[in-house]
Amino acid sequence: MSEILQYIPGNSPLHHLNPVTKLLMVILIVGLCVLSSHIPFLCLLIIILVLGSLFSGLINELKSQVPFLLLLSFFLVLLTSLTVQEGELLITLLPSSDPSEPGYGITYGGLMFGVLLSLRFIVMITAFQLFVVTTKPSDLVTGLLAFRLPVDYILMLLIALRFIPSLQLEAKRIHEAQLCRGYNPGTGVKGKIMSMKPIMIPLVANSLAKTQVLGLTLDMRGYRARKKLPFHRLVFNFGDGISATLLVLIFITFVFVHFFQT
Amino acid sequence: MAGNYHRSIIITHTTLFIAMTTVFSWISIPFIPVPITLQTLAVLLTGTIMKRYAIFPMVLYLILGAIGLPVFHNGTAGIGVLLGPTGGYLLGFIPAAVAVGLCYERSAHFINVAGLIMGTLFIYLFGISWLVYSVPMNTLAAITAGMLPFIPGDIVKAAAAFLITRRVLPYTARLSEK
Repeated sequence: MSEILQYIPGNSPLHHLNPVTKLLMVILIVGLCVLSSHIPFLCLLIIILVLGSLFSGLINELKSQVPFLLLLSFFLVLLTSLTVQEGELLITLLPSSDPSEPGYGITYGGLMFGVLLSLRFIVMITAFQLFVVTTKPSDLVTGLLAFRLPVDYILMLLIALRFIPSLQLEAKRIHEAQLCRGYNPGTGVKGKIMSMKPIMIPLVANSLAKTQVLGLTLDMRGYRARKKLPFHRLVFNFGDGISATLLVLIFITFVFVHFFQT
Repeated sequence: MAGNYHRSIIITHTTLFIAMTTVFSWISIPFIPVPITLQTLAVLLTGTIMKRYAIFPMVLYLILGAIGLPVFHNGTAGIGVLLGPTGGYLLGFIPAAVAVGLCYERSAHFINVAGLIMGTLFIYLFGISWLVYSVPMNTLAAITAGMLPFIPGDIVKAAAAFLITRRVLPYTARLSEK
């Protein structure tokens, strides 16, 4: 909650990629890992992601996620192996009353399904983490120009990104100011609701006043209708070519693994 | 007035309400049986203050979330959230804000209150329809899980939106007239 902009400044190849390329990569990788049910292919995706982070010196970011991912995988495997009953029975937990039928227990199918789900989650979370850590939000929004979004909307998104931390700061400041005046954030459900009132009204009123000043400033600075703004245009460079090639290779592997090999 | 003041004011109000929806969706009040976030309060406030232009902040908010910035509840993001089981509620923000906005273009209080109720109902309608469609679940179960627990919180939020708007509206720029 504290930090929306989890961007970590750096000078790695991943930082220099065009945000649009990175966005497309993340979408493709997440899409493929949802579609795929082939465990070696998912492992390959994880290896590519780990190599990518090693290459750009962001391995520490991924390391901090490892305990969470292990916990998540453990619970997923536990859940699926207890609920999914498919394939060969590996460990019998409850023997069946009829000796000809297998009892209830941990099955091969359930275990594999759990492993598959955890691998999918690992790929998704890792890819997303790398994307968020290496992309400046304002660059990402500017990247939308490539999708032919009108300049007005890009400007709105850019200012909104700037507004989020300042709104948080404003809320904190008002909270502290009200505490100085002896306001008591109550306890219990009713108290919680009532305690919102002395913060909400000044917050909304203050920020509305701020937007009006901002609007006036924007107007005075000459934001006229249908005039091109000098946006920092993003260029596609050599690294983007390499990653696009990588994407195509991943896609070919996916097609090969799923349609030509049974 | 130099240039196009009306247009600049719409731009800055839009940015404020995108930011407000984001910040409010990170705040949650522990409430029985489900925690309520202030996200829908921000949606209602968007409608009450921006009137019919409330469609801009809501659409842009969803775009911002869809391209991967953590603006949705509890810092989640991505197109996956929009297509997930709770995505319907997020899509419902657009008609909700517009409905509230259109009702707030009139000054009669009962129309305003009706607008707030209609906005909340729009969020439920979209949310529950999508819940029934995306999760194999019958309508009754979806209403029990996705609507009944939120009703007390939403009544409080609608009342809060009404009171806050009554306090701040006289000081805001008139958006509905050119």
